[in-house]
Amino acid sequence: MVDSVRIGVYVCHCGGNISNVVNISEVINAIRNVEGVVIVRDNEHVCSEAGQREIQEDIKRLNLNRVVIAACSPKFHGPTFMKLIEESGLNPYLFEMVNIREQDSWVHSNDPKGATIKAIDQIMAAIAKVKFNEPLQPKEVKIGNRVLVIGGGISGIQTALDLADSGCKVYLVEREPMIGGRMAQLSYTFPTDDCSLCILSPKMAAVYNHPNITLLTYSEVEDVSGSVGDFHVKVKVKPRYVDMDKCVACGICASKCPASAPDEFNYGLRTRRAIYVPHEMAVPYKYLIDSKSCLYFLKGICRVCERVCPQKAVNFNDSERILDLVVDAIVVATGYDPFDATKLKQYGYGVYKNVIIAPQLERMVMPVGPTGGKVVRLSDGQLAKKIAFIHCVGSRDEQIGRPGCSRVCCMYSIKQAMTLKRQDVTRDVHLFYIDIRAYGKGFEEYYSRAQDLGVKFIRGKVSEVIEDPVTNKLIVRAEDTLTGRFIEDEFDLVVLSVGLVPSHGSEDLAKKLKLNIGPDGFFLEAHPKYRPVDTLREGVFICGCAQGPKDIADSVAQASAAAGRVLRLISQGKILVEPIKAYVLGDLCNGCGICIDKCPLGAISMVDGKAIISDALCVGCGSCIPYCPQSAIELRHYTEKQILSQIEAALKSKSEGEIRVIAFFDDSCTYRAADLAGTSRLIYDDRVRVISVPSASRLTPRIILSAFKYGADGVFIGDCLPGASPYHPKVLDVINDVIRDVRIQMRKFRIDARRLKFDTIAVDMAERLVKDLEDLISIIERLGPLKVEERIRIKV
Amino acid sequence: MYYPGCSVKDYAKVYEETALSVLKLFNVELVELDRWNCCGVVYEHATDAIMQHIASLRDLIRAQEFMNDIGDNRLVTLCSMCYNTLKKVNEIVINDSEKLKNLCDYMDDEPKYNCGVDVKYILELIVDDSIIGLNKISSNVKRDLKSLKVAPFYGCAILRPKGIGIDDPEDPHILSDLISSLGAKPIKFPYEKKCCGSYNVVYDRSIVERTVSEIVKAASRWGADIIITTCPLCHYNLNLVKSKFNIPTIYFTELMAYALGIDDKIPPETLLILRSKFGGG
Amino acid sequence: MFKGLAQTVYELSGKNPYLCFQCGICSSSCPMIKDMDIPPHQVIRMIQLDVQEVLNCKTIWVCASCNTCTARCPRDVDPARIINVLRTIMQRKNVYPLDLRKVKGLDEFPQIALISASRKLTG
Repeated sequence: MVDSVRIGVYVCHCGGNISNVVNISEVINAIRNVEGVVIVRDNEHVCSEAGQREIQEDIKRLNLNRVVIAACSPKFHGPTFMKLIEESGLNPYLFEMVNIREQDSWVHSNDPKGATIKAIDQIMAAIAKVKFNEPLQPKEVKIGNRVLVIGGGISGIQTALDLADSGCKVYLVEREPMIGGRMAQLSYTFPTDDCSLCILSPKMAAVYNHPNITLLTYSEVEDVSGSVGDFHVKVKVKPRYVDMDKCVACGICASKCPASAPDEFNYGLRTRRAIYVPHEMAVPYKYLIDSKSCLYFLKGICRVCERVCPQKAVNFNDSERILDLVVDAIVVATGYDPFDATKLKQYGYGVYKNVIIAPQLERMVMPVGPTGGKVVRLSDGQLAKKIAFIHCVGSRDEQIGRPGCSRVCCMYSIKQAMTLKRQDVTRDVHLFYIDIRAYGKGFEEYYSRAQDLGVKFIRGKVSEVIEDPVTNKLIVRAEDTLTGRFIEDEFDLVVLSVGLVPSHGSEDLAKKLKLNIGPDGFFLEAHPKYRPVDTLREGVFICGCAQGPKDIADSVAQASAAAGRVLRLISQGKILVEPIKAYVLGDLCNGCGICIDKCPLGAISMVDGKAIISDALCVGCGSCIPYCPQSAIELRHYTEKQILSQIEAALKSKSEGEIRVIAFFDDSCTYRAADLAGTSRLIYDDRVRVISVPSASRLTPRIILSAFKYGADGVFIGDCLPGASPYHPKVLDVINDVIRDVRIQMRKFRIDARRLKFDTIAVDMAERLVKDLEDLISIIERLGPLKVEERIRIKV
Repeated sequence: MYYPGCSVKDYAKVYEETALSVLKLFNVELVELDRWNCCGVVYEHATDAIMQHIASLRDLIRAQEFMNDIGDNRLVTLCSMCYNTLKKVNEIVINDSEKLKNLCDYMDDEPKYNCGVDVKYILELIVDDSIIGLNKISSNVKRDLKSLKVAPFYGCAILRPKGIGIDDPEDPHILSDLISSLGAKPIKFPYEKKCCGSYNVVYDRSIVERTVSEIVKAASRWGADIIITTCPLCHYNLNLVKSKFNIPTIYFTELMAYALGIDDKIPPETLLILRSKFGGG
Repeated sequence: MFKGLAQTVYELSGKNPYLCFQCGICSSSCPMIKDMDIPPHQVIRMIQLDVQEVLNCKTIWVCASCNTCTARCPRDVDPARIINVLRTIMQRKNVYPLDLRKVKGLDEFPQIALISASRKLTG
């Protein structure tokens, strides 16, 4: 705190919006003589040109070093005023804004007297806080143009190309031996029926040949540390046992290899050798040895490939390498896996030979595929004439914990059905669906064409598939819900339209990158509407199916979006890191390390026996603060002193017998809900005094109990709905821990537990918030204000 | 502790006798509950139908009184419908203390139920290695049954709903494993978990004849010689079409007794069936 | 929360019939489907649309409470419970199809059949 604070206070009439309820002259009189206040002015519209100029001139003329503006919500004109303050030569953090419109005049119009007292109290609180405000500077972090893209499917490829074309240095890491991902395994793509590999290959070639892309196939991300502008990544490059520079892919090795394994690219429909090239159009088109099936690795024998290779490319001494990369940004494009249909035993996948999953059918229709393009029954190789598709296998099903829709299955089933009909128009193809989701451009027309081709659509989810033990024909049972008829029909082949699940290993990768996973297992975007490819971690982006099921068009769009977000981040060569962060008071820290695990973003580490918080990783929620047994952590701009001074000042005007509630609103959700109550003109009791915090997880038991001690008769805490906090999904756990602790202490001090209320509020829950506050006030009216003896009992 | 239920004392007497004698062979003693009453089947779905749970709760209280005497809190049933009803009611009162209080208050002449009883089905005991276990059973088999093709039939009461069922409702294997351990050939078929039609047989026999025909016909198509079942009602219903498809249905404990050589408890008809099905001695 | 039949069903069963999206898996799983006049999914639909006639259908009496539908319902609607609740509603109105006095050969049935039948098919 500066010894000689010179505070200017500006109270807005807001063209009557405030002054019609709040008595401005009374406010001015009350504040005029507060220590440190040099000038108090009122204005019809403080935000107007004239109003702003007045403030600017005052700052210069009167040497003001603190400013308090009492007007509308800081969510409304806050940025305007902060800019004004900065342009006037004062640090914008030496400014406080008081909400006497949305959270006063607009909601307490029934009690102008009370509204005026509230306005005075809130301004007093701001004045008390601003005395402790420090000038804060955003930190500059240099940022380069090195980007790591994890995942070499269509999304990873698109992002990598966009970034590389823009001059970035891109590392593309792919754990399979080739790029192309799931798209390479498809036959045709809806709704254009393009050959998938045909449209993918040019992009794969571009990646392979791009001077700015370092392609690391058969590699995995092992470890990630650091932060935006300085990520340190360990990449494990798995051994191929074939020298890629020497291999010319002649294939002689494979023709002599005695060992075999199921061909993963063809979903087990055929086998490959232990030394193999992933598929006919693989990029890079090089051979490699699968140590899990190679006889040399299993039994120490063979090595025929080594002997016959004309280029001497086989190298059994190859070993794993670890690469250390430093990058400025990361894009996660790890794609999806098809749902494991063996989990739904009633469909017989894995037991009945003629039940296959849709990805297998993709491979079967390809002329170069495992059955030469013929769609056959796997039991006897006969051409399949009557085929059933079962939709929603692994999607829209509460019984297996996958309630979400996988978005693309309706379209790909229709596509496959049309392919089957085009191969043989006499085929009988039935699609058993719950709904047909043909939402995209050209999709409904595609569905129409399928119906026109004679594909049969039956609205009813199949309950079970039974294989007749004698004929091997499959009996499918469903209810045609549109006519109410029970269907029990025989088919040659049953295709399961499996849903999309997160790529295996996603959970581990999320832990390594300190990213959040949604309830469906896919990576969580920062906000589903307006930040769909960002994550909560600065510098890390997601795109494609890693973020959720989607088709190729949407994946490409997101991939380019992610590239755009990266370019935006790095475009100035530096980024500004906001200064509202937690920091450790080194003198108080005893090195116990409890805080380290409590930070969900991993921003705290131990250096020389003291905890240190990384400004780059810290998001400023304050969740670490309640757990420090030494009270050694503070949050800039929201220090304990700053908060306690607000509480004390806000309660000073309270006289004997009156009731006051201190309400802590989190800045993102509850505060906005309170503003919404204002714009909706909901009326509630004015005996509530609001303290805004970035997240309620910053509040400690000491702060909450101090509120009671300083004169509050009730305390309300509001924070975001579970998982909705912009800081991280775990803030609720922290708040619950703190509240539990407070309740224990309240019991100890024999303070009625009902005086403390906590609720989760979303931005649109204005009515709920108002009800919470009103309920709390009526409880306190019944209980009566806290007696002096009770307050004395509280020890903080 | 053993809860018999209504049917095993009369219609399904052979089920109880074979079951008890098989368990006795492995030194497992089932002590019958004192003063047991009807289990309260069928479980009532309406959330306010609290009174219908009284019968079941009374049995659980009887078990509670008994369990201290014998030092074991497990209540075993043979009839799968009894198992289902008792276990469901047990789950309800454990999870809803208000309902429990209402029920106990109503039965003020009974002691309060402390939710300490564990309802189990006999098959769970048989496959549990700490009690008997399939290995022990295999090693005690006296007859060579390997040419006997046995289809397991579970019915619904021991498989559904989740949480009450003792095995996977879509792909159960507990009976197939038992059949294998007895040396016979299990014929797993997709209808093994279907409902037999249950109580509809009293109202309209043709309804049940239709459902069990499908089941037994399938068992025949899949190549079974006999069907084994866990429930007296399934036993009755499936046997309605025994001669139509020439596939009789017996209790699984009868098969066990036969395999383990405990002939004295097996009724002559069953012995006749088993001998005729594969001609073994 | 709801009106009419849906509200009654919700109160008695604790399950919300509006969650059903009419996929039909309950009907196709039902072992008694061939003896039902209205398939289970349509019974639920009629509750959603407050069609009182659904209480007069044969389905609610034929249901064997086997719970196969419940085990498969993708929306966790528990059709078995809802259909049984309809049965309960009728039983409480003293409407039921079975009169045990008219059944021939009662002593042939296993006791369990008689008990469960009287529980489910009579008042």
